[in-house]
Amino acid sequence: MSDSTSTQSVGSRPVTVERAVPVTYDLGNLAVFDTNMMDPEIMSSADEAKREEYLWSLARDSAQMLVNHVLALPVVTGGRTGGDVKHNDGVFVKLPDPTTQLPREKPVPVPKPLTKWEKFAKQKGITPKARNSGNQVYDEAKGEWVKKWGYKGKNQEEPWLVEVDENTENGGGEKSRKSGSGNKSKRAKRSSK
Amino acid sequence: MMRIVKPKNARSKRAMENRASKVIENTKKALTVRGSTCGILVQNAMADIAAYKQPDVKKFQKKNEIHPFEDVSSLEFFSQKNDASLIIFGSTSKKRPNTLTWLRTFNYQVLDMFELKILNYKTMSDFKTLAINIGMKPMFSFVGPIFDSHPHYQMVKSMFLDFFRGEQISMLDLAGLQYIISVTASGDGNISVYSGDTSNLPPINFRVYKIKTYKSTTQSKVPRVELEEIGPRFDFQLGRVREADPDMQKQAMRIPKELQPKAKKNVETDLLGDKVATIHVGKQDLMKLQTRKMKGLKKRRKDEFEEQGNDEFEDVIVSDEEQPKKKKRQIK
Repeated sequence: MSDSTSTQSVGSRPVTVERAVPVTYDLGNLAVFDTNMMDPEIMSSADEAKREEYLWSLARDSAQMLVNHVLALPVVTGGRTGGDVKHNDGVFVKLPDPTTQLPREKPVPVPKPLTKWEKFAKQKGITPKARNSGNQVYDEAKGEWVKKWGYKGKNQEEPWLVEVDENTENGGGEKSRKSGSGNKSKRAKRSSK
Repeated sequence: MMRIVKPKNARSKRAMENRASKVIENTKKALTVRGSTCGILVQNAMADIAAYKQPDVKKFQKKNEIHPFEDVSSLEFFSQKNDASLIIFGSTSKKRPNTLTWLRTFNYQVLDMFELKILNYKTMSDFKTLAINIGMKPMFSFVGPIFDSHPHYQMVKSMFLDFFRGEQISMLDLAGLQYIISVTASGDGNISVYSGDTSNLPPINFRVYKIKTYKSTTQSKVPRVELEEIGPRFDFQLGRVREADPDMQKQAMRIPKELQPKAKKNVETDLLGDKVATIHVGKQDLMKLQTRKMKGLKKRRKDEFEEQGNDEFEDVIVSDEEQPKKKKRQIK
């Protein structure tokens, strides 16, 4: 055991811990694996207090090493930073993926077998129609949403020739209708009968 | 096995989907089950362990006439019924006093299990109570070479990690670092592996400590860590062990394709540790290469006209050939 810390007094343990065999970490699971030999004398001694203190010191060193490594991870502070962060405050560290592989609970999901139609469609290259796409398309030239078809639709061509209304052209927006025409004159006729 | 039912409403459909196998799995749920004889010591032990598995644990209160190493069918049934893949079965008998059987299932079938006889136990309530928020992720420390070398101890390590690690997260709140589970076993890895008798194996010490951090005396930014034991305190002796079936183990250890790391193409590290990249450049069209501009190389207008004229002429020939064919078809 090259652990020099256990000889020091409890209150002033250092923040750096050294081990003869370097320990391995699994920061995704917040675990540290220390393969150094334990002191067989203390472990087999009948003095329980001494043993407990030894275990305590081992755990403290492990905890210190882990905390040092966790604090060295990239930090994300506050805010809705995405991921599984649901809080608004606090300091977060980004944990790496776990390195210790643990057995799954259930088998790896297998994709559902294709139906007869899906198989056929795949063979023919038939893709499902885009649903809920609606009748509106963004027209980049106009800079607004327009209909795909129908009145003022995108597939409607602009008339290349338009007849000019002579009256509006000359009178500048004057009403082209004669005052005596239409319903009014018909009504007058009827009332005179 | 239970029959497979088609969901009748949206809620049960959602529940069934939650139970189905997934690429990224749910947090494993645990059960604590009592045997037909289960003393207060074992009951307390199970309650203390369950406290660190909250909220993903269900505590069964009734006695069950089960002997896991003889027949696991009822435990498998519990596993399926509760969608729980971790089970602790507590029992006491004359031959095996104060024993906890730790059991793990895969696809509702027992994957592996082992017995831990409680040699020494101090309950959580014996310690000065220091509240720990539920659902906090523990830190783990496994000390001893035996956890790396002996298959039974590897299993114990894997089981403890699996049991207590809780939810898998990618972002950790530093305030969530609250306690450490320390598992130690003395003895080296040179103990005979398959002697069958596990009584000569070194005991496993299970301790839980609360973490307190202090400003370090030195200039460094890292805090100094101190621990306070919060219990429970266990010394376990390994009992009977049932190892995982190799086929089942293989199935359980499979990583879905989606989660497998993608092979990085074209980026390598050479012997000196430098990053070397291969860049694939498309084939260059030398006909479009801009060479030195000279008057003599310029395309003259006349040439262009000739080229165009040739094209038209060719077109005419083609159309001439096609036309009689069409006519023939029409005649037929």
